[in-house]
Amino acid sequence: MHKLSRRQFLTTLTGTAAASMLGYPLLSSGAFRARVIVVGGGYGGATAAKYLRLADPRIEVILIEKDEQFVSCALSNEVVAGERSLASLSFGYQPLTSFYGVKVVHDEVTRIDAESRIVSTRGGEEFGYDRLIVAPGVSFKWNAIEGYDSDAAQVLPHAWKAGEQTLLLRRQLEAMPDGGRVYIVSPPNPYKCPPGPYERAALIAHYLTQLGKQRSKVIILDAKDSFAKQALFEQGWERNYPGMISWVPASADGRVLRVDVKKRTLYTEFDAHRGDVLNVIPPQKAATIAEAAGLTNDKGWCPVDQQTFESSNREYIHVIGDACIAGSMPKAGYSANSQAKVCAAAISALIDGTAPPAPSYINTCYSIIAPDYGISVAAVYRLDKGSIVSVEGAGGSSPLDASAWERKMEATYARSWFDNITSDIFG
Amino acid sequence: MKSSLLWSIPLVLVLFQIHTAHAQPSHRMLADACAGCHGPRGQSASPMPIIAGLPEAYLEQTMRDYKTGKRPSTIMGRVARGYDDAEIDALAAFFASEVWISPPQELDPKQVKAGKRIHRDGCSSCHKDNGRFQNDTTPRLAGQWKDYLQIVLEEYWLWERRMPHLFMSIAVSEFDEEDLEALASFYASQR
Ligand SMILES: Cc1cc2nc3c(=O)[nH]c(=O)nc-3n(C[C@H](O)[C@H](O)[C@H](O)COP(=O)(O)OP(=O)(O)OC[C@H]3O[C@@H](n4cnc5c(N)ncnc54)[C@H](O)[C@@H]3O)c2cc1C
Ligand code: HEC
Ligand code: HEC
Repeated sequence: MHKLSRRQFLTTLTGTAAASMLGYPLLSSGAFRARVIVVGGGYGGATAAKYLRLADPRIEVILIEKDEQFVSCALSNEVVAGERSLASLSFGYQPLTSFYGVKVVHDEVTRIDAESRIVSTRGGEEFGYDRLIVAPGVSFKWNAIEGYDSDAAQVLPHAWKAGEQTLLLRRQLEAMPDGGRVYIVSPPNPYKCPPGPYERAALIAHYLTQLGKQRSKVIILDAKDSFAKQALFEQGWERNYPGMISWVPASADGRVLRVDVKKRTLYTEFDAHRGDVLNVIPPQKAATIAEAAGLTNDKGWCPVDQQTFESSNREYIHVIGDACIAGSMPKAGYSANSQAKVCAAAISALIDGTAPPAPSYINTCYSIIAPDYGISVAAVYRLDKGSIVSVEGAGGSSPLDASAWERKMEATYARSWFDNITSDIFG
Repeated sequence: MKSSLLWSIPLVLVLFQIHTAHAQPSHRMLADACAGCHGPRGQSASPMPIIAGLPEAYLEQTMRDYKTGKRPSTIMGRVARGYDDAEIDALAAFFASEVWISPPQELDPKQVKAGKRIHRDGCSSCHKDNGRFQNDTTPRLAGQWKDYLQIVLEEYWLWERRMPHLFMSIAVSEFDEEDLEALASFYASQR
């Protein structure tokens, strides 16, 4: 709606921030007091890089990210539903360099030597660090569902990393016949964006309706027996797409064990499901680089000190975002953004030799069920005896008895959240 | 030996209490967490309201009204209940000291003109200086996001939302949706 003006506004904003940074002495690289390397420039890493520079411009920050552009998973279900373009979810890293002095290197980190504190890249570069922030997101557990590997994903998309996968899923929805069946395979906990598969089911139903294929069915085969905002989703599905969406919990034989790509068939313990579109969201773990660096536990996630996000396994390495275990915070973009700020403040203090400051965190997950029907879950968190816990009496889901007007407002605010958090990260 | 051990117990307890006492996060730490929705420093880049530079007393009162449910909200009640009084004061102090920046917005000049007329007759006694005026109880309107202004005006208009400020509800009650959009456009057009 205010597409153009928003861009202009961002320039105004970042201009102000840049001007305020000019107040700091300009230091040549030799004059930096410490160097922090950030691996991964997504919701967590890019926020941490920017906020570290804001906290203390005498810290040199090098962000190493393998892709030239970040494509947000959040709101990518709107791309699946033909409601927005992938370009609207894509962000470059230039503002981080121009306005905040973050050095951005596009390369893949292949090795982290925690002993000598050196990071090596596929391009053959080496970077020493005083502290390292690892924010690489998740990797998929290929073959955890038998037959589902990266090749299978080229035919049966997961679309759980935004980009070509998202478009592939959309094209398959466009090509399928009316009366066809779409299966969504929903993973076991923990995984990134707990409400994501259920939002997707709704927006797929929306798109099929738009395409005149309302006789089609969307079936979720789940490895779980309950899910985030369940009552709100079930109500939203029924109100907006009566009879189109069904959910099969693990206890009703919903857990998918095997996939046959050629036959487009999913196998559970007792049943076989043949579908027109199969969206398989595989089980997840911390990204491979975290595993390779020895940062993960036996379940594949990274335990950390939940105030500083310093790894429990390796000194001077901090892990934030989807890859880390952050108490009761879910794996979400807002969580990663909030953790990054707490981590940046802690690192700045540690470099100063002072105590890390008392933390405060927020997460919110908006879900869009129809273009004018949104719901949300929110929480405010604090540290309690070393664990991140949600503040009692606060947070929770949108009310079940909310009016149509409120649902519409929440859909508006969901998109506004995206614009604001991405301006906080990349602007 | 025994007596020295006994002596040290209260000391240990005191130390333990100091350690577990709930340290108050800094103003910035608390406020940075809001930026995910309200934009960096509260300078929102889209309809969620700009809160940078609003009056401190207004911010405090509004957060308390959200917290108690006196002011209805889609989400702020759930957020505000996460903070105690001291934290709300800290948040208010932080955002009040930030700078309001009016974003450029695409607006319909006809609506802006119509809105100006209604403003002059019905709203300018409180929202002086074309909505730029603010004091402890009245927030700035000039340069706020149009969509947000329209949403709040609709909230005042919908009696079932039970907004706290009765005067505002009475002030908008005689208008229709078109008028409300015109008013929102007018304030949004101001710098
Ligand atoms: C469909 C869907 C919808 C979602 N909707 C929402 C939502 O509405 N709200 C919300 O809050 N969250 C949402 N999420 C979740 C959100 O996208 C993630 O939680 C968030 O991206 C996590 O941030 P992160 O920084 O940990 O990882 P990411 O954002 O995934 O960033 C990791 C980055 O690290 C880079 N990287 C990885 N390994 C290396 C390496 N070895 N070297 C260099 N670079 C590397 C990657 O290229 C990537 O850019 C959604 C997710 C999905 C899939
Ligand atoms: C999940 C998104 C979200 C988060 C997080 C959030 N806000 Fe809000 N805020 C909103 C929305 C949306 C509104 C409009 C009221 C509503 O519907 O909830 C709002 C309204 C407000 C207002 C009223 C503005 C006015 O003009 O009257 C204030 C003040 C405010 N928020 C302060 C804060 C503070 C301080 C924090 C951090 C502690 C915060 N908000 C965190 C979404 C958010
Ligand atoms: C008697 C004084 C008075 C009059 C007249 C008045 N207002 Fe207000 N207005 C207020 C006060 C006080 C508030 C803050 C209410 C609160 O704290 O809940 C307010 C709040 C608002 C808000 C919400 C701002 C925000 O950030 O949430 C809008 C929009 C608004 N007024 C528009 C108008 C319009 C349009 C008119 C004329 C039709 C009008 N007002 C007439 C006193 C007035």
